[in-house]
Amino acid sequence: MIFLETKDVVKQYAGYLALDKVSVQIPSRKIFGLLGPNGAGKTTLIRIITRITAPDSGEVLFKNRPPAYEDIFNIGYLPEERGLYRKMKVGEQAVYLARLKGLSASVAKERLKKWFDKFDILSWWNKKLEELSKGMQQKVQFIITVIHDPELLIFDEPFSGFDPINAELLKNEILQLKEQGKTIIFSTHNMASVEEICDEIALLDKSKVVLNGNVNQIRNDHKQHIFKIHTGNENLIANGAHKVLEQRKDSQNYVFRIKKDEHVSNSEFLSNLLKNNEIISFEEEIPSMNDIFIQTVNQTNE
Amino acid sequence: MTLNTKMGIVIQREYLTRVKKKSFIFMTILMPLLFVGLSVASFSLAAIDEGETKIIVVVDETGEYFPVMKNTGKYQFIESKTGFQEFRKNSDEAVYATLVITGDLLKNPDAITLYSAKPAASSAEEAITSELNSYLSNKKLESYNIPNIKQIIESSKIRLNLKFVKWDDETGNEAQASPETVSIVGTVFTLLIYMFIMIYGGMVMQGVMEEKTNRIVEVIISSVKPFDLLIGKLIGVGLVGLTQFGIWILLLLGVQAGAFMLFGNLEIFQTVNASLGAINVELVLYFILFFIGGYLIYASLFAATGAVVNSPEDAQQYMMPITILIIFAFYTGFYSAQNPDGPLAFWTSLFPLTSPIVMMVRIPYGVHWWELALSIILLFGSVFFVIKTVAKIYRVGILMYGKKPTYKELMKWLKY
Repeated sequence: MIFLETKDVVKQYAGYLALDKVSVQIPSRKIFGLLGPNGAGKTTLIRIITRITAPDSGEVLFKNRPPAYEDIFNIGYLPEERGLYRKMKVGEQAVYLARLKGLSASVAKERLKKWFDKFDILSWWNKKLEELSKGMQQKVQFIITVIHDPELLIFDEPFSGFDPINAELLKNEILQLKEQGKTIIFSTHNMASVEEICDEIALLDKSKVVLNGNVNQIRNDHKQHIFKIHTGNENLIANGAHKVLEQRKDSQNYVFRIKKDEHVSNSEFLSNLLKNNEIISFEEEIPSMNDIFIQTVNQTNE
Repeated sequence: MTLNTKMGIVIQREYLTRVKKKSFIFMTILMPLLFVGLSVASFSLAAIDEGETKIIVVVDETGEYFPVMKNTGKYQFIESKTGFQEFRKNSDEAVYATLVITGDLLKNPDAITLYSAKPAASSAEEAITSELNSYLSNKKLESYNIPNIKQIIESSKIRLNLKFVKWDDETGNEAQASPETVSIVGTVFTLLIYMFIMIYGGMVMQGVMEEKTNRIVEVIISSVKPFDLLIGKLIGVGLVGLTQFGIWILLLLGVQAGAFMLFGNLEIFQTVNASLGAINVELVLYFILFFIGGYLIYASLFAATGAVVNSPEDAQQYMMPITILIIFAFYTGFYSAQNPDGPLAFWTSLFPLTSPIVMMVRIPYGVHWWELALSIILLFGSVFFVIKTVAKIYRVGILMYGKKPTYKELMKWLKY
């Protein structure tokens, strides 16, 4: 099921096209990665989804219908540039922001205390924000994003500023939110985290969607037919259906990195290899999201 | 949840965080003390003697006038035995001035001169002439040889005691109001409304800028409409101003009542009460009304400034025209105290950007009801228009980062 969909969304700022007919489909209960270089239009798209600004043309569908005002209470948004009131007490401003999200003061307080306890920052409730470390501020910001239990969560670069331990904590929280049935939009430059947690992605570049779909599908589609082969032989014989890219000697074996001829199927190639060589392992290299990202962006720039 | 409760939550935060601040409590109590303290200090400083007695040497060639001179607390007169020319040669540091009398002052009033190294203070002139004058006029009167002339003159002196009464046509009330107290009250209220607009307008700008630069506005805007956030902020901060004013009025009444109970109806309190009497409920209500209008206009403009800029340094450039307008209004108000019904005062008290400040000077003198009504209608009409325009700039500005926009770009924002 599609939770949220944008159809041909166009947004123009004074003399500058920020989004050019952007259509994405965000499936329900999945983690959707919104990728792209700086200035590609990610933040603009998020602002349109969160109804901070309106598109010039095109439409946004929320659960297959045009969005209603109440829908904004069903969104939790963690912006890239984190910001809270520096001089205000942590607990006080968390309650304030939760109330703006539609919670009553008492419910907000009760839920916040639980989250603060979970993240081990309850003792900071009455401290001013500026007294907290950056990591703690990020935790507060995360809590505020999820406090009203929205169905759709939008995280813009959620891991920036976190140390590895807290990044892991946060990653687990995000995965747990998915378990609970939330739909999550995840905007990032960090491709490693995309491979780890995203189900679907859309890659934006120069205001357009240049690539989208299921992460595994995309990685498979971008395979370069590169294989890594451990063998006992010094030379690899495979009827000339490959090109050796790299060759080195392991302690006892030889390791080849080869590019297979596109027209030869994997099984055909492998049976050929097995006939002529002593094969210890055979593995196809699946391109990383990082490579795909760079490759795609460079292609569109040519 | 309706929109109004959203705005209510914003108002509540804007109000409470400011009122609970130590600096607010401090300023609210300190400002009146500072005000009273400064005016008392400047009065008493002017009245304080230097303490030191200054010596004036008198070279009296007639020998007639020296015995008349009386030492005051400040000046001591010493007769010089030597002549003036000789005395000048041996001039002494301790001598403040030298008074030389060369002839009969009745026949020749010019025959008296005061020499001093520094220009002599006016108090020295007073010390010298007060006794001499009465001595001379008595002597002159005696020279007419009319019996009882002193008594006749004394009884012919009539001192007028002019009272100033402001006559209210509608209620028929009469209130004591000397032009002096009216102008003081008007000036104080003008100063007050000017200060309030500057302080609280500036506070709104700070608030908007804070939310923009720390990006919390993105979180808030995803659940509150920018217009509601703007209005909530304007109302919240405005209420802080009204709270402060309210506390001051209560303090004033408290001090007045306290002083009355402690000292009874002493004469000095009658003067104080006379000027306080000029502050009546009507004036306070007009102050609140004009403060609300003036504050809303200027604070909205300041809010737009805060929304447009990315740093306090940039803010200067956009604040300039606004600040110039307020200062112009302030000076116009100040000088209107001397001519409250002149054309400048009249027109500026109708023009919405100056009327809140200038009108405060004029109201204690009495203003035609239609002028007040027109001024208020124009003011609140403009408030509506300004807020509508500012809201458009605000909506775009708070989410715009990077270089500061030109005025031309701002005009484009209005069309979004």
